[in-house]
Amino acid sequence: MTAHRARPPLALTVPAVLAVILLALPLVGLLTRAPWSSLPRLLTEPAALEAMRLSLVVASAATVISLLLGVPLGWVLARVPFRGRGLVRVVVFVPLVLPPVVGGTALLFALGRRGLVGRLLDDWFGLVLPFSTAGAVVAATFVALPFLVLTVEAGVRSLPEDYEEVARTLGADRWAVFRHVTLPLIAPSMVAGAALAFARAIGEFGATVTFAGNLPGRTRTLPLEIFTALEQDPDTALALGVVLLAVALVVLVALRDRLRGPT
Amino acid sequence: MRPSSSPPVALAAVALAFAGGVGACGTGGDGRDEVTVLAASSLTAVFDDLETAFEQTHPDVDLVVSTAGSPSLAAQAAEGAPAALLITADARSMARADEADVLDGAPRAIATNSVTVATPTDGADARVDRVADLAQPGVIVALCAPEVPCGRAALDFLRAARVDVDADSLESSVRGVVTRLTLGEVDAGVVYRTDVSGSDGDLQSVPDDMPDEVGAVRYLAAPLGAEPGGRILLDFLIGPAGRRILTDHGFGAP
Repeated sequence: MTAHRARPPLALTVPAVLAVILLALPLVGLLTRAPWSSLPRLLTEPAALEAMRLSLVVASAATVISLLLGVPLGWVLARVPFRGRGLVRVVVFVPLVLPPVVGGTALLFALGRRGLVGRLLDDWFGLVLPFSTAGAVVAATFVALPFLVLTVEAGVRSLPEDYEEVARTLGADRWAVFRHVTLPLIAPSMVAGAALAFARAIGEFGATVTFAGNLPGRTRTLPLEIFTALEQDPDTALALGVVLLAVALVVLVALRDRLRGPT
Repeated sequence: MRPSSSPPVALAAVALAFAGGVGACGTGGDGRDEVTVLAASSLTAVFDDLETAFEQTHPDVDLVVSTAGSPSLAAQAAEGAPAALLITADARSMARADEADVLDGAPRAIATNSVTVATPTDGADARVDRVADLAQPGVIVALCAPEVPCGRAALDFLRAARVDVDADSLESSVRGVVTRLTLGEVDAGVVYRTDVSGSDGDLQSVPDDMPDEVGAVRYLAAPLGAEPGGRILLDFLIGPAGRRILTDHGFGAP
Protein backbone atom coordinates (compact mmCIF):
# COMPACT_ATOMS: atom_id res chain seq x y z
CA MET A 1 0.00 0.00 0.00
CA THR A 2 1.38 3.42 -0.95
CA ALA A 3 1.49 6.34 1.43
CA HIS A 4 -0.66 8.73 -0.57
CA ARG A 5 -3.90 7.26 -1.76
CA ALA A 6 -5.71 9.00 -4.62
CA ARG A 7 -9.25 10.20 -3.87
CA PRO A 8 -11.84 7.85 -5.33
CA PRO A 9 -13.43 9.41 -8.43
CA LEU A 10 -16.69 11.29 -7.89
CA ALA A 11 -18.20 9.44 -10.84
CA LEU A 12 -18.13 6.37 -8.62
CA THR A 13 -18.69 7.75 -5.15
CA VAL A 14 -21.81 9.77 -6.02
CA PRO A 15 -23.76 6.79 -7.46
CA ALA A 16 -22.45 4.68 -4.58
CA VAL A 17 -23.87 7.12 -2.03
CA LEU A 18 -27.17 7.24 -3.99
CA ALA A 19 -27.32 3.45 -3.88
CA VAL A 20 -26.91 3.46 -0.10
CA ILE A 21 -29.63 6.11 0.24
CA LEU A 22 -31.97 4.13 -1.99
CA LEU A 23 -31.48 1.05 0.15
CA ALA A 24 -31.54 2.73 3.54
CA LEU A 25 -34.34 5.27 3.05
CA PRO A 26 -37.27 2.81 3.15
CA LEU A 27 -35.89 1.34 6.37
CA VAL A 28 -35.64 4.83 7.87
CA GLY A 29 -39.23 5.42 6.73
CA LEU A 30 -40.40 2.24 8.44
CA LEU A 31 -38.53 3.01 11.64
CA THR A 32 -39.68 6.62 11.90
CA ARG A 33 -43.34 5.79 11.22
CA ALA A 34 -43.34 2.73 13.49
CA PRO A 35 -45.66 3.15 16.49
CA TRP A 36 -42.97 2.49 19.10
CA SER A 37 -45.00 3.32 22.20
CA SER A 38 -47.88 1.02 21.29
CA LEU A 39 -45.58 -1.71 19.94
CA PRO A 40 -46.03 -4.07 22.93
CA ARG A 41 -49.81 -3.80 22.70
CA LEU A 42 -49.95 -4.19 18.89
CA LEU A 43 -47.63 -7.18 18.92
CA THR A 44 -49.64 -9.02 21.58
CA GLU A 45 -52.96 -8.68 19.74
CA PRO A 46 -54.37 -12.18 19.06
CA ALA A 47 -54.13 -11.75 15.27
CA ALA A 48 -50.49 -10.65 15.49
CA LEU A 49 -49.54 -13.48 17.85
CA GLU A 50 -51.34 -15.97 15.63
CA ALA A 51 -49.48 -14.75 12.55
CA MET A 52 -46.12 -14.82 14.35
CA ARG A 53 -46.73 -18.33 15.63
CA LEU A 54 -47.74 -19.51 12.17
CA SER A 55 -44.76 -17.82 10.51
CA LEU A 56 -42.40 -19.46 12.99
CA VAL A 57 -43.94 -22.89 12.29
CA VAL A 58 -43.96 -22.45 8.51
CA ALA A 59 -40.45 -20.98 8.25
CA SER A 60 -38.98 -23.61 10.60
CA ALA A 61 -40.62 -26.44 8.67
CA ALA A 62 -39.41 -24.99 5.37
CA THR A 63 -35.88 -24.70 6.78
CA VAL A 64 -35.85 -28.31 8.01
CA ILE A 65 -37.13 -29.60 4.66
CA SER A 66 -34.58 -27.42 2.88
CA LEU A 67 -31.80 -28.96 4.99
CA LEU A 68 -33.00 -32.52 4.36
CA LEU A 69 -33.26 -32.02 0.59
CA GLY A 70 -30.82 -29.17 0.00
CA VAL A 71 -27.68 -30.55 1.64
CA PRO A 72 -27.71 -33.70 -0.54
CA LEU A 73 -28.41 -31.63 -3.67
CA GLY A 74 -25.65 -29.16 -2.80
CA TRP A 75 -23.23 -32.07 -2.35
CA VAL A 76 -24.30 -33.73 -5.63
CA LEU A 77 -23.86 -30.48 -7.55
CA ALA A 78 -20.40 -29.97 -6.07
CA ARG A 79 -19.03 -33.51 -6.23
CA VAL A 80 -20.84 -35.55 -8.87
CA PRO A 81 -20.13 -34.64 -12.48
CA PHE A 82 -23.13 -35.60 -14.61
CA ARG A 83 -24.79 -34.56 -17.83
CA GLY A 84 -27.34 -31.82 -17.22
CA ARG A 85 -25.67 -30.48 -14.10
CA GLY A 86 -25.83 -26.98 -15.58
CA LEU A 87 -29.54 -27.43 -16.20
CA VAL A 88 -30.12 -28.57 -12.62
CA ARG A 89 -28.27 -25.52 -11.37
CA VAL A 90 -30.53 -23.29 -13.49
CA VAL A 91 -33.57 -25.02 -11.95
CA VAL A 92 -32.14 -24.25 -8.51
CA PHE A 93 -31.60 -20.60 -9.45
CA VAL A 94 -35.07 -20.04 -10.93
CA PRO A 95 -36.94 -19.38 -7.64
CA LEU A 96 -34.34 -16.73 -6.79
CA VAL A 97 -35.14 -14.59 -9.80
CA LEU A 98 -38.76 -15.58 -10.47
CA PRO A 99 -41.37 -13.20 -9.01
CA PRO A 100 -42.85 -15.18 -6.09
CA VAL A 101 -46.39 -14.66 -7.41
CA VAL A 102 -45.35 -16.52 -10.56
CA GLY A 103 -43.87 -19.23 -8.36
CA GLY A 104 -47.20 -19.49 -6.54
CA THR A 105 -49.10 -19.72 -9.81
CA ALA A 106 -46.73 -22.42 -11.03
CA LEU A 107 -47.20 -24.33 -7.76
CA LEU A 108 -50.96 -24.06 -8.24
CA PHE A 109 -50.77 -25.64 -11.69
CA ALA A 110 -48.47 -28.37 -10.40
CA LEU A 111 -49.80 -29.12 -6.93
CA GLY A 112 -53.24 -27.46 -6.93
CA ARG A 113 -56.37 -29.55 -6.82
CA ARG A 114 -56.50 -29.69 -10.61
CA GLY A 115 -52.74 -29.53 -11.04
CA LEU A 116 -50.47 -32.04 -12.71
CA VAL A 117 -49.52 -33.84 -9.49
CA GLY A 118 -52.02 -32.23 -7.15
CA ARG A 119 -54.88 -34.06 -8.86
CA LEU A 120 -53.22 -37.39 -8.07
CA LEU A 121 -52.51 -36.37 -4.47
CA ASP A 122 -56.20 -35.56 -4.08
CA ASP A 123 -57.41 -38.75 -5.81
CA TRP A 124 -55.05 -41.13 -4.06
CA PHE A 125 -54.60 -39.63 -0.60
CA GLY A 126 -57.34 -36.98 -0.36
CA LEU A 127 -54.46 -34.54 0.16
CA VAL A 128 -55.22 -30.95 -0.89
CA LEU A 129 -52.26 -28.63 -0.42
CA PRO A 130 -53.78 -25.23 -1.25
CA PHE A 131 -55.49 -23.56 1.73
CA SER A 132 -53.51 -25.66 4.21
CA THR A 133 -50.52 -24.89 6.40
CA ALA A 134 -48.72 -27.65 4.49
CA GLY A 135 -49.32 -25.62 1.32
CA ALA A 136 -47.78 -22.56 2.97
CA VAL A 137 -44.75 -24.70 3.90
CA VAL A 138 -44.44 -25.90 0.29
CA ALA A 139 -44.56 -22.29 -0.98
CA ALA A 140 -41.96 -21.18 1.57
CA THR A 141 -39.72 -24.17 0.80
CA PHE A 142 -39.90 -23.41 -2.93
CA VAL A 143 -38.39 -19.96 -2.40
CA ALA A 144 -36.03 -20.89 0.48
CA LEU A 145 -34.46 -24.11 -0.76
CA PRO A 146 -32.17 -22.47 -3.38
CA PHE A 147 -30.41 -20.43 -0.68
CA LEU A 148 -29.49 -23.60 1.12
CA VAL A 149 -28.46 -25.56 -1.96
CA LEU A 150 -26.22 -22.81 -3.31
CA THR A 151 -24.58 -22.09 0.05
CA VAL A 152 -23.91 -25.78 0.71
CA GLU A 153 -22.65 -26.35 -2.82
CA ALA A 154 -20.17 -23.50 -2.40
CA GLY A 155 -19.16 -24.90 0.98
CA VAL A 156 -18.48 -28.38 -0.43
CA ARG A 157 -16.59 -26.96 -3.41
CA SER A 158 -14.29 -24.96 -1.18
CA LEU A 159 -13.26 -28.14 0.67
CA PRO A 160 -10.01 -29.57 -0.64
CA GLU A 161 -10.83 -33.05 -1.90
CA ASP A 162 -7.72 -34.35 -0.09
CA TYR A 163 -9.61 -35.02 3.15
CA GLU A 164 -12.23 -37.07 1.41
CA GLU A 165 -9.64 -38.94 -0.67
CA VAL A 166 -7.59 -39.80 2.39
CA ALA A 167 -10.68 -41.13 4.11
CA ARG A 168 -11.52 -43.18 1.04
CA THR A 169 -8.02 -44.71 0.79
CA LEU A 170 -8.45 -45.69 4.43
CA GLY A 171 -11.38 -47.83 3.32
CA ALA A 172 -14.41 -45.66 4.02
CA ASP A 173 -17.20 -45.79 1.44
CA ARG A 174 -18.60 -42.57 -0.02
CA TRP A 175 -21.52 -42.40 2.38
CA ALA A 176 -19.23 -42.83 5.37
CA VAL A 177 -16.90 -40.17 3.98
CA PHE A 178 -19.83 -37.81 3.55
CA ARG A 179 -21.11 -38.42 7.06
CA HIS A 180 -17.85 -38.38 8.98
CA VAL A 181 -15.66 -36.06 6.93
CA THR A 182 -17.65 -33.79 4.60
CA LEU A 183 -20.65 -33.10 6.81
CA PRO A 184 -18.70 -31.81 9.83
CA LEU A 185 -16.53 -29.65 7.58
CA ILE A 186 -19.48 -28.01 5.81
CA ALA A 187 -21.39 -27.40 9.05
CA PRO A 188 -20.72 -23.62 8.86
CA SER A 189 -22.12 -23.53 5.30
CA MET A 190 -25.17 -25.48 6.43
CA VAL A 191 -25.80 -23.05 9.28
CA ALA A 192 -25.39 -20.06 6.96
CA GLY A 193 -27.61 -21.62 4.31
CA ALA A 194 -30.25 -22.54 6.88
CA ALA A 195 -30.25 -18.99 8.27
CA LEU A 196 -30.69 -17.49 4.80
CA ALA A 197 -33.38 -20.03 3.95
CA PHE A 198 -35.20 -19.26 7.20
CA ALA A 199 -35.03 -15.51 6.55
CA ARG A 200 -36.37 -15.97 3.03
CA ALA A 201 -39.11 -18.35 4.21
CA ILE A 202 -40.36 -16.07 6.99
CA GLY A 203 -40.66 -13.19 4.54
CA GLU A 204 -42.43 -15.19 1.85
CA PHE A 205 -45.60 -13.52 0.54
CA GLY A 206 -46.37 -13.84 -3.17
CA ALA A 207 -46.16 -17.60 -3.59
CA THR A 208 -48.01 -18.15 -0.31
CA VAL A 209 -50.96 -15.88 -1.03
CA THR A 210 -51.27 -17.27 -4.56
CA PHE A 211 -50.86 -20.95 -3.76
CA ALA A 212 -51.96 -21.35 -0.14
CA GLY A 213 -54.56 -18.61 0.20
CA ASN A 214 -55.07 -16.28 3.12
CA LEU A 215 -56.76 -17.63 6.26
CA PRO A 216 -55.92 -16.61 9.83
CA GLY A 217 -54.21 -19.39 11.78
CA ARG A 218 -53.80 -21.62 8.75
CA THR A 219 -52.04 -19.75 5.97
CA ARG A 220 -51.97 -16.08 7.04
CA THR A 221 -48.30 -15.72 7.92
CA LEU A 222 -46.68 -12.44 9.02
CA PRO A 223 -46.33 -10.93 5.54
CA LEU A 224 -49.96 -11.80 4.71
CA GLU A 225 -51.09 -10.34 8.03
CA ILE A 226 -49.14 -7.17 7.19
CA PHE A 227 -50.76 -7.06 3.75
CA THR A 228 -54.22 -7.53 5.28
CA ALA A 229 -53.63 -5.06 8.12
CA LEU A 230 -52.07 -2.34 5.97
CA GLU A 231 -55.40 -1.02 4.71
CA GLN A 232 -57.33 -1.29 7.98
CA ASP A 233 -54.75 -0.74 10.63
CA PRO A 234 -51.42 0.61 9.32
CA ASP A 235 -49.94 0.72 12.84
CA THR A 236 -50.23 -3.05 13.19
CA ALA A 237 -48.69 -3.48 9.75
CA LEU A 238 -45.77 -1.23 10.74
CA ALA A 239 -45.29 -3.03 14.06
CA LEU A 240 -45.17 -6.42 12.32
CA GLY A 241 -42.84 -4.93 9.71
CA VAL A 242 -40.46 -4.02 12.52
CA VAL A 243 -40.56 -7.65 13.70
CA LEU A 244 -39.60 -8.94 10.24
CA LEU A 245 -36.87 -6.32 9.93
CA ALA A 246 -35.51 -7.44 13.31
CA VAL A 247 -35.49 -11.08 12.14
CA ALA A 248 -33.60 -10.05 9.00
CA LEU A 249 -31.06 -8.08 11.05
CA VAL A 250 -30.51 -10.97 13.48
CA VAL A 251 -29.79 -13.28 10.55
CA LEU A 252 -27.41 -10.79 8.95
CA VAL A 253 -25.57 -10.14 12.20
CA ALA A 254 -25.27 -13.88 12.78
CA LEU A 255 -23.77 -14.25 9.32
CA ARG A 256 -21.66 -11.10 9.44
CA ASP A 257 -18.34 -12.93 9.16
CA ARG A 258 -19.47 -14.76 6.06
CA LEU A 259 -21.04 -11.71 4.44
CA ARG A 260 -18.01 -9.51 4.96
CA GLY A 261 -16.21 -9.10 1.68
CA PRO A 262 -12.43 -9.28 1.44
CA THR A 263 -10.85 -6.20 3.01
CA MET B 1 -7.45 -24.46 6.57
CA ARG B 2 -10.88 -22.99 6.93
CA PRO B 3 -13.17 -23.23 3.94
CA SER B 4 -14.76 -19.95 3.02
CA SER B 5 -17.49 -19.15 0.57
CA SER B 6 -18.15 -15.45 0.93
CA PRO B 7 -19.13 -14.57 -2.65
CA PRO B 8 -21.95 -17.13 -3.04
CA VAL B 9 -23.36 -16.25 0.38
CA ALA B 10 -23.25 -12.56 -0.47
CA LEU B 11 -24.87 -13.33 -3.81
CA ALA B 12 -27.57 -15.30 -2.06
CA ALA B 13 -28.12 -12.42 0.35
CA VAL B 14 -28.54 -10.06 -2.60
CA ALA B 15 -31.10 -12.37 -4.16
CA LEU B 16 -32.81 -12.63 -0.78
CA ALA B 17 -33.32 -8.91 -0.68
CA PHE B 18 -34.38 -8.93 -4.31
CA ALA B 19 -37.16 -11.43 -3.78
CA GLY B 20 -39.76 -8.81 -3.00
CA GLY B 21 -42.70 -7.70 -5.10
CA VAL B 22 -43.30 -6.03 -8.39
CA GLY B 23 -44.82 -2.69 -9.21
CA ALA B 24 -45.38 -0.53 -12.23
CA CYS B 25 -46.23 2.95 -13.28
CA GLY B 26 -46.30 4.68 -16.61
CA THR B 27 -47.41 7.57 -18.70
CA GLY B 28 -49.21 7.68 -22.00
CA GLY B 29 -46.96 7.76 -25.01
CA ASP B 30 -49.39 8.48 -27.83
CA GLY B 31 -50.20 12.11 -26.99
CA ARG B 32 -53.58 11.37 -25.42
CA ASP B 33 -54.29 12.61 -21.91
CA GLU B 34 -54.29 9.86 -19.36
CA VAL B 35 -57.29 9.73 -17.06
CA THR B 36 -56.86 7.17 -14.32
CA VAL B 37 -59.81 5.63 -12.50
CA LEU B 38 -59.44 3.62 -9.31
CA ALA B 39 -62.29 1.11 -9.61
CA ALA B 40 -63.56 -1.56 -7.23
CA SER B 41 -62.41 -5.01 -8.25
CA SER B 42 -65.92 -6.17 -9.24
CA LEU B 43 -65.98 -3.51 -11.97
CA THR B 44 -62.99 -5.05 -13.80
CA ALA B 45 -65.00 -6.69 -16.58
CA VAL B 46 -67.54 -3.91 -17.16
CA PHE B 47 -64.72 -1.37 -17.44
CA ASP B 48 -63.46 -3.14 -20.57
CA ASP B 49 -66.65 -1.96 -22.29
CA LEU B 50 -66.89 1.34 -20.42
CA GLU B 51 -63.32 2.19 -21.43
CA THR B 52 -63.98 1.50 -25.11
CA ALA B 53 -67.19 3.55 -25.13
CA PHE B 54 -65.67 6.42 -23.17
CA GLU B 55 -62.59 6.63 -25.38
CA GLN B 56 -64.81 6.62 -28.49
CA THR B 57 -66.65 9.70 -27.27
CA HIS B 58 -63.46 11.25 -25.87
CA PRO B 59 -60.77 10.47 -28.48
CA ASP B 60 -58.20 12.69 -26.75
CA VAL B 61 -58.38 10.63 -23.55
CA ASP B 62 -56.60 7.41 -22.66
CA LEU B 63 -58.59 5.87 -19.82
CA VAL B 64 -56.40 3.89 -17.42
CA VAL B 65 -58.28 1.50 -15.15
CA SER B 66 -56.69 0.40 -11.90
CA THR B 67 -58.70 -2.17 -9.96
CA ALA B 68 -58.32 -3.52 -6.43
CA GLY B 69 -60.39 -4.10 -3.32
CA SER B 70 -62.20 -0.92 -2.25
CA PRO B 71 -60.18 -0.39 0.98
CA SER B 72 -56.94 -0.63 -1.04
CA LEU B 73 -58.21 1.95 -3.47
CA ALA B 74 -59.30 4.26 -0.65
CA ALA B 75 -55.86 3.91 0.92
CA GLN B 76 -54.21 4.69 -2.42
CA ALA B 77 -56.44 7.73 -2.93
CA ALA B 78 -55.79 8.89 0.63
CA GLU B 79 -52.04 8.68 -0.02
CA GLY B 80 -52.55 10.99 -2.99
CA ALA B 81 -52.48 8.46 -5.84
CA PRO B 82 -52.45 10.28 -9.21
CA ALA B 83 -56.00 9.38 -10.28
CA ALA B 84 -59.06 11.32 -11.40
CA LEU B 85 -61.93 9.20 -10.12
CA LEU B 86 -62.42 6.81 -7.21
CA ILE B 87 -65.15 4.15 -7.32
CA THR B 88 -65.68 2.02 -4.24
CA ALA B 89 -68.25 -0.69 -3.58
CA ASP B 90 -69.00 0.64 -0.11
CA ALA B 91 -69.58 3.90 1.73
CA ARG B 92 -66.97 3.02 4.37
CA SER B 93 -64.03 3.11 1.97
CA MET B 94 -65.32 6.29 0.36
CA ALA B 95 -65.59 7.89 3.80
CA ARG B 96 -61.94 7.06 4.45
CA ALA B 97 -60.89 8.84 1.28
CA ASP B 98 -63.15 11.75 2.26
CA GLU B 99 -61.51 11.98 5.69
CA ALA B 100 -58.14 12.26 3.98
CA ASP B 101 -59.55 15.30 2.14
CA VAL B 102 -58.66 14.06 -1.34
CA LEU B 103 -62.17 14.12 -2.88
CA ASP B 104 -63.11 16.90 -5.28
CA GLY B 105 -66.88 16.82 -5.04
CA ALA B 106 -69.54 14.71 -3.34
CA PRO B 107 -69.68 10.94 -4.05
CA ARG B 108 -72.51 9.80 -6.36
CA ALA B 109 -74.09 6.36 -6.48
CA ILE B 110 -73.53 4.82 -9.93
CA ALA B 111 -74.81 1.24 -9.63
CA THR B 112 -75.75 -1.60 -7.32
CA ASN B 113 -74.85 -5.26 -7.17
CA SER B 114 -75.53 -8.24 -4.92
CA VAL B 115 -73.77 -11.44 -4.02
CA THR B 116 -74.55 -15.04 -4.83
CA VAL B 117 -73.03 -18.43 -4.15
CA ALA B 118 -71.12 -19.55 -7.23
CA THR B 119 -69.52 -22.84 -8.28
CA PRO B 120 -67.25 -23.80 -11.19
CA THR B 121 -69.42 -24.92 -14.13
CA ASP B 122 -67.16 -27.77 -15.19
CA GLY B 123 -67.95 -29.72 -12.06
CA ALA B 124 -66.70 -28.88 -8.62
CA ASP B 125 -65.14 -31.75 -6.71
CA ALA B 126 -67.83 -31.54 -4.04
CA ARG B 127 -71.51 -31.21 -4.94
CA VAL B 128 -72.88 -27.81 -4.02
CA ASP B 129 -76.53 -27.51 -5.08
CA ARG B 130 -77.89 -25.40 -2.28
CA VAL B 131 -76.54 -22.56 -0.18
CA ALA B 132 -76.68 -24.87 2.86
CA ASP B 133 -74.13 -27.21 1.21
CA LEU B 134 -71.44 -24.63 1.98
CA ALA B 135 -71.53 -25.70 5.61
CA GLN B 136 -70.78 -29.34 4.81
CA PRO B 137 -67.40 -30.70 5.83
CA GLY B 138 -65.04 -31.22 2.92
CA VAL B 139 -66.51 -28.43 0.83
CA ILE B 140 -63.71 -25.97 0.07
CA VAL B 141 -65.00 -22.39 0.16
CA ALA B 142 -63.38 -19.05 -0.67
CA LEU B 143 -64.91 -15.79 0.53
CA CYS B 144 -63.84 -12.19 0.33
CA ALA B 145 -62.12 -11.00 3.51
CA PRO B 146 -64.50 -9.15 5.84
CA GLU B 147 -62.39 -6.02 5.26
CA VAL B 148 -63.64 -5.67 1.67
CA PRO B 149 -67.26 -4.91 0.65
CA CYS B 150 -67.89 -8.29 -0.97
CA GLY B 151 -66.77 -9.96 2.27
CA ARG B 152 -69.27 -8.01 4.35
CA ALA B 153 -71.98 -8.65 1.77
CA ALA B 154 -71.13 -12.37 1.85
CA LEU B 155 -71.43 -12.45 5.64
CA ASP B 156 -74.81 -10.66 5.40
CA PHE B 157 -75.98 -13.14 2.84
CA LEU B 158 -74.82 -16.24 4.71
CA ARG B 159 -76.22 -14.95 7.99
CA ALA B 160 -79.59 -14.33 6.36
CA ALA B 161 -79.47 -17.83 4.87
CA ARG B 162 -78.57 -19.20 8.32
CA VAL B 163 -75.56 -21.03 6.96
CA ASP B 164 -72.43 -21.24 9.06
CA VAL B 165 -69.41 -21.39 6.75
CA ASP B 166 -65.79 -22.13 7.68
CA ALA B 167 -64.01 -20.45 4.77
CA ASP B 168 -60.75 -21.92 3.52
CA SER B 169 -59.40 -18.67 2.15
CA LEU B 170 -60.28 -15.02 2.61
CA GLU B 171 -59.36 -13.08 -0.51
CA SER B 172 -58.49 -9.39 -0.57
CA SER B 173 -60.81 -8.72 -3.51
CA VAL B 174 -63.68 -10.47 -5.29
CA ARG B 175 -61.39 -11.18 -8.26
CA GLY B 176 -59.42 -13.43 -5.95
CA VAL B 177 -62.51 -15.54 -5.24
CA VAL B 178 -63.42 -15.62 -8.94
CA THR B 179 -59.92 -16.86 -9.83
CA ARG B 180 -60.03 -19.63 -7.20
CA LEU B 181 -63.39 -20.74 -8.65
CA THR B 182 -62.31 -20.59 -12.29
CA LEU B 183 -59.19 -22.62 -11.52
CA GLY B 184 -61.33 -25.17 -9.69
CA GLU B 185 -59.26 -24.80 -6.52
CA VAL B 186 -62.40 -24.26 -4.45
CA ASP B 187 -65.82 -25.93 -4.64
CA ALA B 188 -67.79 -22.77 -4.01
CA GLY B 189 -67.43 -19.11 -3.25
CA VAL B 190 -69.52 -16.02 -2.69
CA VAL B 191 -69.12 -13.51 -5.52
CA TYR B 192 -71.23 -10.80 -7.15
CA ARG B 193 -73.98 -11.77 -9.54
CA THR B 194 -72.18 -9.78 -12.25
CA ASP B 195 -69.11 -11.98 -11.75
CA VAL B 196 -71.18 -15.02 -12.69
CA SER B 197 -72.87 -13.39 -15.69
CA GLY B 198 -69.52 -12.03 -16.86
CA SER B 199 -67.61 -15.29 -16.50
CA ASP B 200 -68.29 -16.57 -20.04
CA GLY B 201 -70.00 -19.59 -18.53
CA ASP B 202 -67.08 -20.59 -16.29
CA LEU B 203 -69.16 -19.99 -13.18
CA GLN B 204 -72.72 -20.83 -12.28
CA SER B 205 -74.91 -19.42 -9.58
CA VAL B 206 -76.42 -21.60 -6.86
CA PRO B 207 -80.12 -20.78 -6.63
CA ASP B 208 -81.32 -19.06 -3.49
CA ASP B 209 -84.61 -17.47 -2.44
CA MET B 210 -82.96 -14.47 -0.86
CA PRO B 211 -84.40 -11.00 -1.50
CA ASP B 212 -82.14 -8.78 -3.62
CA GLU B 213 -81.32 -6.37 -0.83
CA VAL B 214 -79.60 -9.10 1.18
CA GLY B 215 -75.90 -8.97 0.42
CA ALA B 216 -76.32 -5.90 -1.77
CA VAL B 217 -73.67 -3.25 -2.35
CA ARG B 218 -73.83 0.24 -3.82
CA TYR B 219 -71.00 1.69 -5.88
CA LEU B 220 -70.04 5.24 -5.07
CA ALA B 221 -67.90 7.39 -7.37
CA ALA B 222 -66.17 10.65 -6.52
CA PRO B 223 -63.73 12.82 -8.49
CA LEU B 224 -60.28 13.11 -6.89
CA GLY B 225 -58.44 16.39 -6.56
CA ALA B 226 -55.17 14.81 -7.70
CA GLU B 227 -55.95 14.82 -11.45
CA PRO B 228 -58.46 16.47 -13.79
CA GLY B 229 -61.01 14.54 -15.84
CA GLY B 230 -62.83 12.83 -13.01
CA ARG B 231 -66.03 14.81 -13.43
CA ILE B 232 -66.24 14.10 -17.14
CA LEU B 233 -65.87 10.38 -16.52
CA LEU B 234 -68.41 10.47 -13.69
CA ASP B 235 -70.93 12.27 -15.94
CA PHE B 236 -70.37 9.58 -18.53
CA LEU B 237 -70.94 6.79 -16.01
CA ILE B 238 -74.23 8.23 -14.74
CA GLY B 239 -75.29 9.30 -18.23
CA PRO B 240 -77.33 7.11 -20.61
CA ALA B 241 -74.34 5.45 -22.33
CA GLY B 242 -72.60 4.44 -19.11
CA ARG B 243 -75.90 3.42 -17.53
CA ARG B 244 -76.72 1.12 -20.46
CA ILE B 245 -73.35 -0.65 -20.34
CA LEU B 246 -73.64 -1.15 -16.58
CA THR B 247 -77.16 -2.56 -17.02
CA ASP B 248 -75.99 -4.87 -19.81
CA HIS B 249 -73.42 -6.30 -17.41
CA GLY B 250 -76.11 -7.00 -14.83
CA PHE B 251 -75.57 -4.06 -12.51
CA GLY B 252 -78.62 -2.59 -10.83
CA ALA B 253 -79.76 1.03 -10.99
CA PRO B 254 -78.38 3.17 -8.15
